[in-house]
Amino acid sequence: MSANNDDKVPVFRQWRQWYWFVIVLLALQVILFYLFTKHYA
Amino acid sequence: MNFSPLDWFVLVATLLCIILYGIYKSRSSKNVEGYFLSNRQMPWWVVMLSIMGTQASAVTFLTAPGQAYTDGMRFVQYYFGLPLAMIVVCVAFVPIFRRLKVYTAYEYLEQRFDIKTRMITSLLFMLSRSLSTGISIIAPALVLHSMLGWDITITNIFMGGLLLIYTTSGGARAVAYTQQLQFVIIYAAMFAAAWWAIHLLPDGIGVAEALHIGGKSGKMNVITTGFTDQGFDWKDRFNIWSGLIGGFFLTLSYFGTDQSQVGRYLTARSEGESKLGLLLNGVVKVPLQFGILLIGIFIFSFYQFHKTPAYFNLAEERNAKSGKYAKLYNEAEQQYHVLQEQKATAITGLAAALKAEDQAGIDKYRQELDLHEKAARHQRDSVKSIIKLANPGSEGNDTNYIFLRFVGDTLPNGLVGLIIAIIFLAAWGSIAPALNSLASCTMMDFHKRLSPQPMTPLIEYKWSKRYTVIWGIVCIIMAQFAYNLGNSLIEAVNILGSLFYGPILGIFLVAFWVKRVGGHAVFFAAALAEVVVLTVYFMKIVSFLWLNVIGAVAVILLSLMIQPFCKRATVAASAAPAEVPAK
Repeated sequence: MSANNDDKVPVFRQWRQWYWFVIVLLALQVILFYLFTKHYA
Repeated sequence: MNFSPLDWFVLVATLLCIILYGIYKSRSSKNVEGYFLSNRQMPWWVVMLSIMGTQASAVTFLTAPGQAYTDGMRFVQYYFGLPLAMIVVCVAFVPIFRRLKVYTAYEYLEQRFDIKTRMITSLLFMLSRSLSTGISIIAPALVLHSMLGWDITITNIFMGGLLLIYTTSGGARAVAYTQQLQFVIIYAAMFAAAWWAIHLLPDGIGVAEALHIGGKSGKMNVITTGFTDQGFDWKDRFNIWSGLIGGFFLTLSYFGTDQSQVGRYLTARSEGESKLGLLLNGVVKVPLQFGILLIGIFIFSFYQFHKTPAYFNLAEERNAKSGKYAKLYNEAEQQYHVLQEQKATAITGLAAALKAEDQAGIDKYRQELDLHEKAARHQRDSVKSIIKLANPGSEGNDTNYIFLRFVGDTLPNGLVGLIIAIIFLAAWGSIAPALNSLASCTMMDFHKRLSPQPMTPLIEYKWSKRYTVIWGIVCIIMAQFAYNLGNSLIEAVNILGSLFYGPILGIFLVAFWVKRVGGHAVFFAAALAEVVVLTVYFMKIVSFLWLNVIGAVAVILLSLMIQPFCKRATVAASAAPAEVPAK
């Protein structure tokens, strides 16, 4: 199941870094939405 | 709702533009790889837009602002599992599908298990996808019929038939390129509608005040936990947990095992471009959906200062006003408008207090607003009851009509036509890949697989085009059938995906990660898991998103339990490395 492909990974060095980027971005969005909810409640 | 000649011009010109662009981009090799997979030559941005266009149907754009208007922003949590699912699809599904050069996701199941698992799964996909495509055709047609008085059958034929011109001639390539253009037009028009809603707010009320008004009315509930005084509410449809866990399983099943999506990222020119398209979809989907829902908040704020329809479905409103319940309806509507005026006074006071940062004023007007809001909601429920009395077949739910009513009542000529055009474009964006994937499953999983003699590439190509046309006609007939059977069927079919997605996902997860389970075990486990899912569904103990989790987990556990009773030889054969050439 490893990212065994012949292409270069764009922007980052490994696909693993891309996955972390997506996870961190989601976490940031959830935190932002939480603050949004609190601020406008 | 007024539809001017300028609106007609914009509508016809936009649709014509898409069809001509689709035909222009129709050049593909006359073989199945060119027709179904664009010769695997698509760049990542086309793949990403194609994935997004396939997922978002017309109902997405029609319903989301109305959903935020009535239930608040919490619907966005439904998409929280999607970015995580994209990662799993990239790690587990894409490398296998690419390495084996499959045409359909189900082709892999024959290589891993046996032919019956492939065919049953493909058949289940075709059944649920054709029904949901029928709904993708009829749902916007019903809304247009109600708001503009258009004939249902003719709208159905246009909604489901016009796109056949480029879908049949150009296959996956034409589908992907038209989705790209559709995406730009759709989001530009939605942005224009949002800008117009803000522009129509009274002086002194800007974006921040509009958000505060929505917030003070309980609409800015972006994050909810689903916990009540009695503990976690499993029937609560949208909260962070159902979104993250249930949404993850639903989108994993959709993107990993639904051919309408698998067929999109298999068109990429490399494994990396498939992954990039999927991951960027995971990055942009949540903010985009948040933006669309925010339009509903602006519309909500707009209606706090303007006369609000007591019921947004024009056809049903007209029906109630003309029948024997007209007097009752008019009185209830009158009362609703009185309450709305009281609410508007409280909101104006609240906006002024917010601007002056007067906390005492904010608290006072907020309390007033709460009372008026409850009274208005109660009165709207009475209006809905009268609507149901006047038309017993009515669902009494006007969420789908809020956005279009706002569009028809307030937007300038030309922009109304553009909004109607995007309903068609969004519908086409999801129907076209569905037809392409239905044709690819019919051709690759059944016709070619069961054909006693090999066919020439040209014959295969011609059959593929025929199947696209046949599925187009079948889906239009399904749409008409759904309309004749009424709203209850539409609701049932909308939930249908969640009834099958879990077990199908479970089959794929076993295929990838539980090597000691063979074809017979997984087949019977999936059948039993389906019974479990249906039982839980009919017992109504959880909301539909959780059915995906239950179905997938049930297949994994049951297959492990059944496997020891199956013959050892079957396991050995099934667990062999999947190196069979793609058929």
